[in-house]
Amino acid sequence: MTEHTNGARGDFADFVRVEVPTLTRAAYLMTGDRHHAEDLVQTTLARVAVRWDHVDEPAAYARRVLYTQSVSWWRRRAARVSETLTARVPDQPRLDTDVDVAVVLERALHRLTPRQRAVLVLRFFEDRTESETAELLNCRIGTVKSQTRHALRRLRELSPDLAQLEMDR
Amino acid sequence: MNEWLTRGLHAIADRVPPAAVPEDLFNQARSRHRRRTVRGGIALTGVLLVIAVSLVRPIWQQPSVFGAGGPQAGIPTEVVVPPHWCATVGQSSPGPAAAIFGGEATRDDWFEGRFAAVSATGDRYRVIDEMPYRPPGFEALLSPDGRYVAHGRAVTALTKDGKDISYLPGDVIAFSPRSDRLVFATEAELTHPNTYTTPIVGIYDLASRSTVTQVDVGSAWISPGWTAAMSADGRRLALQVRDEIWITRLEGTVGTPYLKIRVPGGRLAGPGSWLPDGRSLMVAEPASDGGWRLSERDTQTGEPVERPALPVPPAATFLRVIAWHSADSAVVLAGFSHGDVKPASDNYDVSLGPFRSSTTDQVRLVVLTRGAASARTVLETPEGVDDLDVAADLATAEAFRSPGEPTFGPPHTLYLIGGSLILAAVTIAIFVAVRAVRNRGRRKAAAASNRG
Repeated sequence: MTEHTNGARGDFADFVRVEVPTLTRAAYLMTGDRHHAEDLVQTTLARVAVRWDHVDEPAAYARRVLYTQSVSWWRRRAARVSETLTARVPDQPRLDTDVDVAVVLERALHRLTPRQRAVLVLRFFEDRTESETAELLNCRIGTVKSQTRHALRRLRELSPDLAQLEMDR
Repeated sequence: MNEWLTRGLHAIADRVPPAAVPEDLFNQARSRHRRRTVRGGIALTGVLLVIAVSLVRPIWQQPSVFGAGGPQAGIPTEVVVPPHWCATVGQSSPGPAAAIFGGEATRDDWFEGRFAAVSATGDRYRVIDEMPYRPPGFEALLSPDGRYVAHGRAVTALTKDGKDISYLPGDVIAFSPRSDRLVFATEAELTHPNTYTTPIVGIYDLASRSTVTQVDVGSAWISPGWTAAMSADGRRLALQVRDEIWITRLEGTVGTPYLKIRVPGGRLAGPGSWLPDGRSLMVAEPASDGGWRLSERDTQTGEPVERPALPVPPAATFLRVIAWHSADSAVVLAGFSHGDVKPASDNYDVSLGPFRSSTTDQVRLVVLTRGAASARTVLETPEGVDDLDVAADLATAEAFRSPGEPTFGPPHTLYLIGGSLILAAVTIAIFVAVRAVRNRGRRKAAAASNRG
C-alpha cells in the first residue's frame, strides 16, 4: 500500500469521526428509522471514500450524497413506512415539553414525502439558506420555497396541535 | 412555528446515537468500486461486441447456393489476392466456391501453406491455412459443385463453417462428377529395396464415409496430383500409371483395369478428361512448340479418335481439362510462363504433383471450341498465382460472371488476437499516464498547500 493511500485512509478516518454524528442525525430525520439511517450513512461514506482523492470539500459532498440518496426512488420505496388507516383519530399527547413536540413531529414527518422531509431538515435542522438547500438538493430555489410551503402546510394538517402551539406562543 | 420546528427536529435527532461504521470502510468501498468498474467494463465490452458481431455477421456470411433462388452463380472473370487479414473458411463459411487458387502471392513466411477460395455467388474471399502447402488444382482439389475442398487426406466443407468433414484413407487424386465420391491413392508398404509404393487406389464415399471400391493397380506407383478421372456416369475410372492410362469399370468392391492405353510422354488431361458420352477421353501430349496439345482416345480400343482439334493456347506449361460444355467445347486450365518456353517434360517428383510445372507463372481458364481459331480466355490469375482449380459444374454450364466488390470476412483470428492485445496495451498505457499526471498535479498542490 502506498504512502499516499495510507495518508488518505487516515484523513478519511478523521473525517468519519467528526462527521458521523451529524450525518446520522440528519439521516434519521430523513428516514425515520435507525437502521435505514445507518444504512444511508454507510452508503454515503462509501461514496465519499471512492471519491476521496477527487473531492475538495468532503463534508459538503457527503451531505449532497446523503440528501440525494435519501430522495432517490429506490431508497424511498425501501424506507417508506406503510400507513394504516383507522376509523378513530389517534390520541394526541399534550405538547407541554420539547419531548412531546418531538413525538408529534416525528409521527407527522413520517407522512411527508422524502423531498419535503429533506427540505425541512436542511432549512430548520441544519439552518441552511434557501440557496444552499437548492444547491444540496440539486434543484431550483423556487422548488425549495414551494416544497417548504407544502411541507409546513402538510404538518399543520397532520398535527393541528403544532399549529395551535405556534399561535399560543 | 419555525422555532418550535427547529427545536422539535433537534429533540428528535439528539436521541439518535451515531451510526456504526465498519473500520475498513475506506478500503472496502474503494475495492468494491474497482471491482464493479471492471465488471461493468467487461459487461459493456461484451454487450458492444455482441451487438457489433450481430450487426456485421450477416455481411460475412451471406447465404449462397447454386441454382434458382440465389444470386447468379458463376466463375468470376477476375480474382484478387486476399489480404493477410482475410478470414479462414473455418471462421466464416464462404458458401460453395467458384475457384480455389494459390501461389507465392497468397503465401508468406507466416502462412506458408495458405491458399484462397472465392465464392460462386459473390466475391467473398476466404483462405485455407495448412502445412504443407498443397497447390490448388494439383494436391488440393475443388469438388465439381464447389462445396468441398479435398487437400491431402482432409475434406473440408465450405458450406459448414469450414470444418473438416472427413478424412480419406489416402491422398485425394480426383472427385467424382457428382461430388459424392473421391478417388484416393495411398502407400501400403515399403518394398525392396527401400522404395515407397502407392499400390492402393480406392473410391471413397462421402455419405457412408467408407471405401466402396478398391482398384487393383498391382505395385504401380500412383503419383500425387491429378492422375485420375471418373466418367460422367461415375461407372468408369481412368488412371494414370506411369506412361499408361488404365481404364477400370467400378463394379463391386474390387475394380480391375480392362484397358491400358500407352501414352509415351503424354498424360491424362485432367478431371474432365472423359468426353460427355464416355466413348473417348482426352490425353495431353507434348507439342512441337514446347507446350502441350490435346488428343482423343477411344475408351474401348485405346485408338486415337480423329476429330477437329481443339485450339489449345500456344506454349502452355500444362493443360488440364475441367469440363465439357458440349462434345465440341471444353473448359480448360492452361498454365503459361513469362520466360522462355521450355520443352514440355514430366516432372515426376515425390513431393510435387507430376503435372505441376515449375516454370508456370500464371494460369488461364480458357474455353476451347473445335474449329475456332483460338482459345477464349475467361480468367487469368493475378501475378504470383500459379495454381488454380474451378468448380466443374459452373464450367460445364459456362457460367461466368463479372467480378464484384471483394469482401474478406472478419479479420483472421491471429489479427483479432494481436489487435486486441495492442488495444489493451494502449488503453493501459493511457490509463497509467493519466493517473501519473493526475498524481503529480495532486502532489504539487499538496506541496503548495503545505508551504502556504
